[in-house]
Amino acid sequence: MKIHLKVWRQSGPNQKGRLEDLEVKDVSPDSSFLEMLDVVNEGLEERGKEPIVFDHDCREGICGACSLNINGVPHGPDRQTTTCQLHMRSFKDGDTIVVEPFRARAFPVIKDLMVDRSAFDRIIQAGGYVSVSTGGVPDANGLPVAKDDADEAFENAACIGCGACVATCKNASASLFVSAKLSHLRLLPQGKVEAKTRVLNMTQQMEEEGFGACTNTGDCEAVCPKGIAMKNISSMNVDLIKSLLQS
Amino acid sequence: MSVCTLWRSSIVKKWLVAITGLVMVGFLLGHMAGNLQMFLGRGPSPEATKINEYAAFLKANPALLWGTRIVLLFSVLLHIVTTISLTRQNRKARPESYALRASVASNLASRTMIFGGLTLLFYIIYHLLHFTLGCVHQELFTYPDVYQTVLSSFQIPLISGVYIVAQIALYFHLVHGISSAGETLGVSHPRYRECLNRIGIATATLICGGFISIPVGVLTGLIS
Ligand code: HEM
Ligand code: FES
Repeated sequence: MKIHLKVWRQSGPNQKGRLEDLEVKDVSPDSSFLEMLDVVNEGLEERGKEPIVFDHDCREGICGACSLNINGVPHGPDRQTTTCQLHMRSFKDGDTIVVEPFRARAFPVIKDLMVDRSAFDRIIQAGGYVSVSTGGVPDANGLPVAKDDADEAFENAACIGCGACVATCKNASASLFVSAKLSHLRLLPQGKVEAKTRVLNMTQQMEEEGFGACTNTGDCEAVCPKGIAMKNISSMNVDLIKSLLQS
Repeated sequence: MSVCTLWRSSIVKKWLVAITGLVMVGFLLGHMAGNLQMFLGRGPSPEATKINEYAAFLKANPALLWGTRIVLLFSVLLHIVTTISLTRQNRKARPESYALRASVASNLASRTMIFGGLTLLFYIIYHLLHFTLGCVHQELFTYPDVYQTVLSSFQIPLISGVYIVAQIALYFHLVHGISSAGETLGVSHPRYRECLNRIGIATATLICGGFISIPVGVLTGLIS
């Protein structure tokens, strides 16, 4: 297939960027979006031009490194699919595809399509962990966890921290990410111990990183490649107010 | 926990927006029901007209009248200050906009809350100057004959038009606002959220439909 790409090119963090037009011929419908970009980059390098810089790692939808706003949607048109798992057969021959970096003040562009998402790491450092000494491996079923809680904690543990929620939100809010991490830990016995300080510290770090607030538009939940639910945001709101009232 | 620390939390501000918003929704339900007395028509004299009796009743109960006014004024001001602060934070959070942005789940109502809200702010000021203070359209202000003021005002299509447009803005603000407030305040289960959406649509339709029926009633001659 033939694809017309409009790709964001930006030579450095403080440089002005622009959309560059590229014609890509002989694209295999079976190649992934990133493989298509690999081929484009080979061509660029052969012609002595700078390849397009983009983030990727596992290429199997589990690490959260890949990003890209594709035709206006983070991770492109397929639901619950990361960019690395998106295939060119999701597009039509002759399509124009606009590729931009995730945009947020808290995610500054490093180069081209690559952004710095370490704001998420700092939010995790502020409380997204369990610091109790759990001792050795406990006996099986020694610490019962209700099935519903275990399932919900697991669903939220599926968040890969890619930042698509921030990228799509009209406010560039990190509420879905932060609330998924909070629910994941809060629902398990090991995580309950620090639940109160965790919600205070993580939401405070979220504000300090310059993310926006939540307007409950629902875009985050819709684009999340792991299907993280917005109800976590409601739980986070209630937990924060409770913690504030108790402190 | 100081007020400054609390104010830095967008979640605390969202709670204030939601609570003040719902207080205003509660007021509007009562206000709308009161206004529907226009449909009971004119009595044998201005004093014996239902809506004028209602106005006189409110005047005779200053605790009720001023209590409501103070709570409302406080809510409106706090709602405006917090939403403007949040909107500024949200704008700052994305300094460079996308060349192409598609919305997957959000609707127009949820994306334009600040515009609808600011429209309402101008409308509220005009509305108070018109019906409460009688500063604009002085020639139409016939207090304590409220019935006559409303009637002669809405007989002017331009004035009716302004009120109808304002109600449409209110409808869009509430259709997202009511369900959003529920979510902000912790209604989280997907099943209740579905229910919440319906409550939002029903309440917004009731409030705005009720208010719009009055200028429409006057224009069509149903109220005369
Ligand atoms: C007077 C000017 C007004 C302005 C400037 C304004 C502005 C806003 C904005 C920007 C939001 C969205 C906040 C966000 O989620 O990001 C909002 C939410 C809301 N507004 Fe207003 N508004 C106004 C009047 C009203 C009135 C008259 C009512 C009710 C009758 C109302 C009820 C609500 C409700 C229920 C919400 C939802 C709260 C939430 O999302 O948690 N607003 N308003
Ligand atoms: S590269 Fe790991 S999730 Fe896409």
